[in-house]
Amino acid sequence: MKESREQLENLLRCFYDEDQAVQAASDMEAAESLLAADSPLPRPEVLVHIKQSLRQRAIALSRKRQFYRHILTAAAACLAAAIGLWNIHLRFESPVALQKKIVQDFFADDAVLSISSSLDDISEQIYTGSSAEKEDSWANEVGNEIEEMVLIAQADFWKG
Amino acid sequence: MSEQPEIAELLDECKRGNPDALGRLVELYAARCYGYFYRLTGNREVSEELLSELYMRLLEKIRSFEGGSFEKWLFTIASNLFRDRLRKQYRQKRLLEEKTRIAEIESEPEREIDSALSDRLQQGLTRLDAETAELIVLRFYGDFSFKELSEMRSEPIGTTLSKVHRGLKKLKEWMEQPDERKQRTT
Repeated sequence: MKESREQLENLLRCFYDEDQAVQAASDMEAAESLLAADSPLPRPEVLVHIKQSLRQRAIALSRKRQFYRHILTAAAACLAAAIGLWNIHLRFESPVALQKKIVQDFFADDAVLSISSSLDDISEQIYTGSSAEKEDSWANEVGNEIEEMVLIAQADFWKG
Repeated sequence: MSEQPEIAELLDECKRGNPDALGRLVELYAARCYGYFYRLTGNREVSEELLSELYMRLLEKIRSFEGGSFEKWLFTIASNLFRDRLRKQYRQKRLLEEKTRIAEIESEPEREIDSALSDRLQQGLTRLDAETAELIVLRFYGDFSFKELSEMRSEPIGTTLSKVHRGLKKLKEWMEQPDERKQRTT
């Protein structure tokens, strides 16, 4: 909002002395009254055309906004569905993982373990048993030979 | 003053895309905005084109208007439009048209006195530098105070005041000079 004459003079006094401020305010008012004396107006048909264009543009904009709103709604629905599916995936195990677990559980069963450990025992016994027998026969053989040599040596000694 | 609540309601309706409210906005401000463009361009057709562009831009931007002075906001858009236009293509064209128009005026001595006054005013504004002319026209058609003008131009109030004062003084002097054309006809 433009200043009143008094406000304008007060403002001009900040930059000019008293007389100059009054004179400047008068000059400005006079020049502005020249502008006021002749104000061109737009042709009425132009205004009608602008209003029609605005109406059409407003409708087009409204449709565009509605279209974007629909897209956004669809995108939000997709996102919600994706989040839901992800939650389901986290809560329930996948069939492959489930199958894997069943197989693991089956092989980790106590019965299998006990069979497995029994088999281990048996194989250990077989292995350790045979090796002990082997060691035994070898020791006997050596012992016999030594005993035989001792007897021969004794007989030779007594013979002179 | 009592127009403010009405304007606020009108703007709310415009934000909702109500075509009748937009039409009302055209009725309220078209004359002032047209005067602003016409005084700066001196060309009826270009001014009408700019006025139409202004309202289209207003429709696109109306949702971003967050209160404050609507007139200041509107004339800032108008000013930007005019500057864009000037920058892109208008300056040279205007000079050419102005020369042609002056030649036409000189060859038409039987024109009306009021029209002659209008033409001289227009010539006077054209003779001023573009920035000063715009400030004068903004002050008159936008009804802006010097404080608002200086804020719009981001310059000290003293600078704006000085530019407008000097410009208006020159304009008044030119207008008070005897009309050479009239003298020739008598």
